[in-house]
Amino acid sequence: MILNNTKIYFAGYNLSGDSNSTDLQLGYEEKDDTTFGDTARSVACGMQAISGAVSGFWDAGTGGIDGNLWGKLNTASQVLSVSPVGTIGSSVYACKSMHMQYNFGGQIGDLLPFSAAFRGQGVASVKGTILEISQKTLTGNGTGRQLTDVDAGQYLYGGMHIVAVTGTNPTLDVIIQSDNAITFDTPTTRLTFTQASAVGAQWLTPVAGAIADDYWRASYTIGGTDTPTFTVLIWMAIQ
Amino acid sequence: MILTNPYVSIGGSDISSYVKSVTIDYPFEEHDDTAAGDTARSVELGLANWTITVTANETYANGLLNDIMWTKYIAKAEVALIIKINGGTTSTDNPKWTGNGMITGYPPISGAVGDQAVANFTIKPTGGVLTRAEAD
Repeated sequence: MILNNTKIYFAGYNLSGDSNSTDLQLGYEEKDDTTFGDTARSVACGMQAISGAVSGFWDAGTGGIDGNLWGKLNTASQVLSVSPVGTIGSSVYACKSMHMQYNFGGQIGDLLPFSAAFRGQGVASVKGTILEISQKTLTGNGTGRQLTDVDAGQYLYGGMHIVAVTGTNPTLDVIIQSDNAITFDTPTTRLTFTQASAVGAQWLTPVAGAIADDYWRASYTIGGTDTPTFTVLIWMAIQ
Repeated sequence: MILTNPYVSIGGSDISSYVKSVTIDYPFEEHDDTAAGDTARSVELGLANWTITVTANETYANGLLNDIMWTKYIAKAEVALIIKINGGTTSTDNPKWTGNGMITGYPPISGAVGDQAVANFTIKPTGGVLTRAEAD
């Protein structure tokens, strides 16, 4: 596939429109466990070492990439979510990260580039599914979709980025529900995000399985006046 | 945006008219603070270890770039830095980065016959961070 709609969200900012390249490394440290009797080198996987990089075109101004990236330097446990396809229902890779390097500058006459580097924060990354990636102005339920159930030993994860908020006294309450049928006749709330009223991001404490349901959706309640609007990315993961 | 008019001041000298390129690289040193209970490697950030690199059109005439910068370089003294992306007027769209650093590299001549003479400055911190501001 051609990467042409990749979405990159860091904390409460959507870097996608500023970026033209990204690299997410979610590998495991190699530990040699070769022993007598082996006929080839043997490797065990150690801890996951998470690193990410984004580069693109520098921009300042209110809400621009420069202020956002500079403001988040050396700030612990920021949510980084990257979706190669970038559409609702597609995969997203997410981790808790720290922005640890910011680089910008270039030649006279060039488009001014930037690059940013991120490192993991002691929590393994997850691969999940985008439940919502759009503007929300009305209270409602998102599209239900069949994923998998949560086995014993697995956890249910949820994350949310809010990258734009308008309206007067806007509030957003998001829950993630499950059911055993696409009709969601008897939905059960599995994850509840903290009420949001501003740009930001949340990474919820994972919920342990087992959960037998395999249909999932996000539901949201919007409060406020003057057409409160939230631009969000909401994802969930089971692993 | 196209970089056309960066502002670079080093040690109180505005050398913008000589500048061909300028880059701020702002990394923090990484320290492993992984502990029992973590499920992935954890990194704590230590000291900022930034670098500013400037490439400029070199000129050796009295009072011009080489005269200005060589004096600062061999003084091995802390220099004040001001970098802006688009001219001297600080604004939301043209933030400024300020700080203090040491010129740690300045080859006085580098090039082959027929090349444009260029000066490459490397500036490292002297214990302090760079500060970003959207107004003077």
